[in-house]
Amino acid sequence: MSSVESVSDGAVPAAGSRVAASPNYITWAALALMTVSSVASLRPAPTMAVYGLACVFLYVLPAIVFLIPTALVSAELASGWSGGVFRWVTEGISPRMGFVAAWHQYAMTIFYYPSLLSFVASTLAYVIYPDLAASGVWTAVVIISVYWLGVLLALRGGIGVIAKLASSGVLIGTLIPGALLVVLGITYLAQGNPSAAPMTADNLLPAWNGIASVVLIVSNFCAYSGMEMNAVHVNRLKEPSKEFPKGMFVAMALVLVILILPPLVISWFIPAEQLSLTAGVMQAFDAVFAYFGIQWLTPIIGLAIVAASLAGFLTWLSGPSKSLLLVSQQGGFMPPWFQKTNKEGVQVNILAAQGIVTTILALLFAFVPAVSNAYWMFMTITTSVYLLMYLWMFRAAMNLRKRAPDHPRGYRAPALGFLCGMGIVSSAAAIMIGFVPPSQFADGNGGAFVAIVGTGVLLLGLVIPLLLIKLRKPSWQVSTPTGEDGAS
Amino acid sequence: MKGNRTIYVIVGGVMALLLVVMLIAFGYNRSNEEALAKANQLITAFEEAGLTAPKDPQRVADVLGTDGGTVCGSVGSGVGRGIAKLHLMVGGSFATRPVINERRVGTGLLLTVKTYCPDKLPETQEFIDNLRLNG
Repeated sequence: MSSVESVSDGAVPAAGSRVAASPNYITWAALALMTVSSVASLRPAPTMAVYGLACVFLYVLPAIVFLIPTALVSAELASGWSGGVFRWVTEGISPRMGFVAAWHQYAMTIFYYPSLLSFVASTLAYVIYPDLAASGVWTAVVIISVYWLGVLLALRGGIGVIAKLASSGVLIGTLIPGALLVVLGITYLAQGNPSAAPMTADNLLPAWNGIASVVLIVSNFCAYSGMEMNAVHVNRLKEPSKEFPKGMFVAMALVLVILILPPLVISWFIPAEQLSLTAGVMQAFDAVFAYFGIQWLTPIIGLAIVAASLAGFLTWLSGPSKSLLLVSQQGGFMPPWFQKTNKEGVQVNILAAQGIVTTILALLFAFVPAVSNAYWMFMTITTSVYLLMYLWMFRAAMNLRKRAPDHPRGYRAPALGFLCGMGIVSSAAAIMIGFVPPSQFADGNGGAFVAIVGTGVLLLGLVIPLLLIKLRKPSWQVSTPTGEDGAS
Repeated sequence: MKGNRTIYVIVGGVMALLLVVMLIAFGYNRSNEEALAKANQLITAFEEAGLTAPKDPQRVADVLGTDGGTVCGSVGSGVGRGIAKLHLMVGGSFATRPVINERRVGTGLLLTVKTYCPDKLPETQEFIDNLRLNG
């Protein structure tokens, strides 16, 4: 039996009996908002607005087959076992698979930050000076400086500060602008204006365009990826077994509202053809404000959207890297240097190493056209790797129900076997559809695309974690696995 | 905690400063005679191409002004086109996936560039030609 297997049952402490010695409690509402900021934003709204009324279907179907299984299953797991995905998979499958799952979750973030922070750069450019949107220097400076400032915040404040900033950011930058957009949209229709996109029953489903429609529908499953990510912070709640499921249900409702309503409202105002490929959500807000003669709000909303993006960035910065730290400390999967934490329990060296990689990627993205042109492909590959993690999570949940039916859980998901089955099929479908060449791959050579994506997934999802497992040394295990997330 | 209060004050200060810069730098009055003429030109181009055209030229002028704003700002560079390709993905805040997009959106972009920054038409045309669009 490996060292990780020999641990205690890793149960989440019962209400009022917190074990982890942490000074930084977070509330369930803050955790819910952190989850919202991890998953939902206004950023994809203009892209989805192109589909008009059908965007409702395009978000509701994935919610049924992917969001509900993910949210309910992770709520049950987090209410029974602390530590997040790595812990669940360790207990449910094996310690090695626990590490692989943590790696799959973490790998996505490597390429995510330059993409997210380039959006921050282009949002700022829209308001300050539009020509900056084409500037590599501007993009690189924003990505690199924001990343390192985020690391500094995480190091100095720990999860308590991150939770407060993230929940404030999602409130200011997603919920309030989203609500404003909905109010303006309803006012627009109430004034007797026609919707730019037809809103009849015939348009409830997206137009059938063969494989393009299948790609569109199935790709959107991954819109809800990340619902489980903040479970790694479960021990920062006062009553984890009760509060995590509560936070998850609230987050689920908010995510649905945020993803569905804004694109619908944008499609009322702006014809699909006018939604530029390059100007994104800021142009959409600007156009809506222009109608009401309140364009002075555009810079304020711009800053709010930046705040929401930074909130999402901070939650992703603190979650998967924490998961990787825990699994490394308890299983000895990474050299001790990577396992160093500061007095707040923050993974200093993992964040620093990640920062170096992010800095290099940002420079390549900003200054090497071949890299910026192909960056979407890195995102495709890492999303597929992230989706692999769900296969292990659902499998672990099924195993844990069988093997440890009496293990105390604050919440038991109904029809768990069915939910896990649906989750596995949805995740597998979303992984498979990632091999269909999209718009960005003009070559049209399906074989080449499959080879590129397949190689990337194999390398990032299989070769690297297997190498780390193979190179692992018992002396690298620096802490006794307890299932808690305290600092070393 | 005092240390945390300091962090919140610094973050709040930076955001406030950024807001002031954004409020000062934002182009509020983008609409003028030339902007209206270009808006009408764009609407005509949309109609001739069989696309759904914006109804009110004033609104188009308010947003795109005389220079097309960020639309023209982005298309001229490698990083701009890289970001545009990221905009072509669907999903949520975190995970996004590329799809097979609709041709009409690409056509709309081309017509906008043709109207507001024709000097950037060749590279925009090349960008659109290198996309696999549906319809």
